Amino acid sequence: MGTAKHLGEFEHLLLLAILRQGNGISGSDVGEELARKTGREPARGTMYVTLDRLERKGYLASRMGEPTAERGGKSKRLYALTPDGLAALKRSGQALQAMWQGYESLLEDA
Amino acid sequence: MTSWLVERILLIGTGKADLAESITGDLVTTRRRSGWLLVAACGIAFRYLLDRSIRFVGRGRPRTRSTRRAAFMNTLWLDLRYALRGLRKSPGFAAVAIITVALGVGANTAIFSLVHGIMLAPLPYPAQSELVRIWPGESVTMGWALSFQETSSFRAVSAYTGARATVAGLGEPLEVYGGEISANHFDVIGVRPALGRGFRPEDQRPSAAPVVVLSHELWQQAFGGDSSVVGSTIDMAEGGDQRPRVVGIMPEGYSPIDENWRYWTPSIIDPANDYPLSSEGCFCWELAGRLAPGVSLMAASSEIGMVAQRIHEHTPEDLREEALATAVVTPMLDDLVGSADRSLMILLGAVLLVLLIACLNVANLMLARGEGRRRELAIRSAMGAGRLRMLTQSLFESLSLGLVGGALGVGLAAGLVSYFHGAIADVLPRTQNVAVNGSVLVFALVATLGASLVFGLAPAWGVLRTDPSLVLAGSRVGQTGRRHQRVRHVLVAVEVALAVVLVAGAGLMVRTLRSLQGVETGFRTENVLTLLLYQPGAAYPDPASVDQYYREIRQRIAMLPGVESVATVNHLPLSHPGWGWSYTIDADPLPPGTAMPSARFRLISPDYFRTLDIPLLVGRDITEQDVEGVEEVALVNQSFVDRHFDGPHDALGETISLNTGHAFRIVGVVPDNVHRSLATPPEPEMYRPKLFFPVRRRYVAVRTAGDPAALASAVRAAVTDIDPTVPISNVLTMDEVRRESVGGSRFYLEVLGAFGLLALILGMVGVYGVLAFTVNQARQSIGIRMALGANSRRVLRETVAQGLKPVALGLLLGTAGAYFALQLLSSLLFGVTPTDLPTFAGVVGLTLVTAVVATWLPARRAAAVDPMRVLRTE
Repeated sequence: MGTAKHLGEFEHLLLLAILRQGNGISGSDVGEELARKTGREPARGTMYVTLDRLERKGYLASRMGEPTAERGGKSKRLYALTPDGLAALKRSGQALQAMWQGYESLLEDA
Repeated sequence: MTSWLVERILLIGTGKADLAESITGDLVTTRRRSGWLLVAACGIAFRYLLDRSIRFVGRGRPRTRSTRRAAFMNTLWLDLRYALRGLRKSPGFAAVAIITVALGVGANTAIFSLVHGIMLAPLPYPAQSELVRIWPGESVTMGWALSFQETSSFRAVSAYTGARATVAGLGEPLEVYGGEISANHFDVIGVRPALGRGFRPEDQRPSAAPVVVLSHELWQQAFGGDSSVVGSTIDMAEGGDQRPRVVGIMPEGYSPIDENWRYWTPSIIDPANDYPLSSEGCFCWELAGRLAPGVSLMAASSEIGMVAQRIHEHTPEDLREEALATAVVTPMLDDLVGSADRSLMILLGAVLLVLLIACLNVANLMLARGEGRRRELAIRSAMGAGRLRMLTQSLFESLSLGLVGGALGVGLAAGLVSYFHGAIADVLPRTQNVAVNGSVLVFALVATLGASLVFGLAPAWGVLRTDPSLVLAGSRVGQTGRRHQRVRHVLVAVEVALAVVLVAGAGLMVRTLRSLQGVETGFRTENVLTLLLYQPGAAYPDPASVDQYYREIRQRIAMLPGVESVATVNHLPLSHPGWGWSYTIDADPLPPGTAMPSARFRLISPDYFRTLDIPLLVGRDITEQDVEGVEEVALVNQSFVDRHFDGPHDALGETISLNTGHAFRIVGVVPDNVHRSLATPPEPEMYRPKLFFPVRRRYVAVRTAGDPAALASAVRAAVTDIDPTVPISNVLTMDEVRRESVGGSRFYLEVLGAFGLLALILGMVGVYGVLAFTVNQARQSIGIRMALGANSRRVLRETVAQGLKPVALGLLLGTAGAYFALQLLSSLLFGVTPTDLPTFAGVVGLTLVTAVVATWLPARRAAAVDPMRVLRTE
């Protein structure tokens, strides 16, 4: 579990989106949150595969929610961060922060 | 169904049932169309498979079923990328192949959309297979209709007939077609009004207040979709009724019997007039029914026959023998499609030939390309690539070309379908169903995959037949090359043969249209303006008031400058099949037991023959006194005279008696003139100045000194001035009427002509391609021959001759094929036989000329070979 030290960019964004929404968010809601925050709609296939990969790495845990009529009677898979996932997110965030040190003004200009 | 399919696709990709279910639910909440859901599911599944294959391949994991599947997927992905890379390196070849496939698939998809929409799309009513027409082609009295209701084969039977009315809504008065129906008609069809109610049995009593149900379209057009119109009375004149109350609005798009019907009124059942089985009742009702559960068409037809027999026993003179024999029950769908199915099958057959030609063309292109890649294939084979692997890559190449071409073809088909909607609305039934829908897309996919397989076989065969050792040993053309060349020549010959069949078919349609246009109508169409008027019934309740109105119309229009003469007629030639009436001639009595003959009938005004420039053979024309006076007179045509008399003079003064008992004297004879259509020979016909019931719907014909279209607005103004509540429609010159009457033939000509042209172009592209390749391969031998003394003109001649060899073979095969295949076109032809010699000669000539043009460029290139340069290179 947790073999990778740092996260890829997309993995980082996904974990942040799940962290933001608290416990139990579905794949499609993650995609919507990403689109809202970054202005970029992720490819569904890549998003689901990455969520699956993060779960295999132990950074996410999933459970099945209740089926609803709106979803055609299908249950939804809800994702939540694990302690390992939070730790990996912290590591990557701190690494990014360290690299950005001194260049924060660039972010403001953007 | 879509959801189930999406989940199955995702299960294959993810391998996990709960994950597949969850992603399916996510997709379903997007509320997108089925097509999008399926494509999205395929994309996600493919991404999962790719991810799994990347993870498992090359890590020495145990080869379980899922790892084998993943490895297979990875190999396929690599082969696909290799094929696409290869196509990117040959953009010209790819573009030509894709466009060729697009044309073939696009044309086929467009024609299939016609076939599907018109012939195959089920009627949009519940249990539509139970819906039938009883006794199609025959009309019955209401008394008979009620007899048919008491049968065990049917759950319900309804009667209906067409009607017309003028409706005054928000704008100008509209003339609309509608249906007069029995109260249970909507129940028989199985559709309830979207607003309000249908009809009840009490609405059919003579004492009931008039009611009407409107179509969605009329409700929108005349009343702006205002729902408060339900329950209120409206200005609608149909016969005597002027202000019926609207009780219901039908759902949008409802039109089961006649696509043009915009309103429905209940048929009033008056026992005194309509039954018992009396011949004085109106023979105008047609029947629809719902079969009882488990009853077959044959059983129902048999029972109908027995009812008809019972009616015949009661009133034998009411029923013709042939009507008894045709007592059948047919599915409603078949009745609506009519004879259109035959023509559509011809078009589908023709367009499949176009697709085959397109496939052969692309196959030829791929074979030529394969020639150039033989060395590459030989090297790969020598380095261990299996034949199956190379075959897969070759098929992927074909599939990629096919799918891109197919997608473009669907776009082309969508454009063609838009064109069809404008061109065929009056030619074919059920055109509102014609669209590029799911079923048509499935057909496009099947056509694309089939085409890809057909033209993919050629390079695949090339791969299988390539002997790597020969190629690597330096053999240039060799035995394999010569075999390929023979195959390509045969493919070109087959293409040319198919093109000849299509072009010959188009040629026959050109001759048909010319023959129709050359038909002697018996009247002059130049400088005649026509328009259709339909008076509201309440303002003109009897024949005298109707005749007075039309007299005023004629007098007012006659005073306009530029008008030479004016007349009215109930059925303009080429606009209507017309009425037929049974009659007897006093001077030519019927032998006992013989059925009464029938003749066409027209109600005309004075100056009708003058306006259409139809001369009188003997006797006199109709006068105003004939319209107003007591004496009943008529004119007849030459065919009528030929049936009963020795000559026109013998007919003068003789008396005709209709089966209604009315009699009139023949006062004149005119030559035959076209009535129903240019393709129908003239029939015996009578012309009368008045009838015993009011005829409110009449055409006005105006002969003008100059351009008739220029007088249209003045004529309209004159009509509106007399009575603004009378709607005016069908304002056309007689030339336009004649042109529109051959609209059907023109449509088939345009489609078959387009196919023929496309086939010829594709065929000649094939001829050019094969010869260009041959010349390229034979540069060395051409150079040597020219170095040894052959001049360029001789080389040019010989190259053209070589290029024409497969064309000659194709012409031979094609002419023979056309001779038999074009018999299928017989039903569409007029004035020309399927084996018309001038047409075939023209096709052979055209093919030879275009073939010479196609061989010219490569022949010139051969003649321009510089022998010194070729020899230096060698």
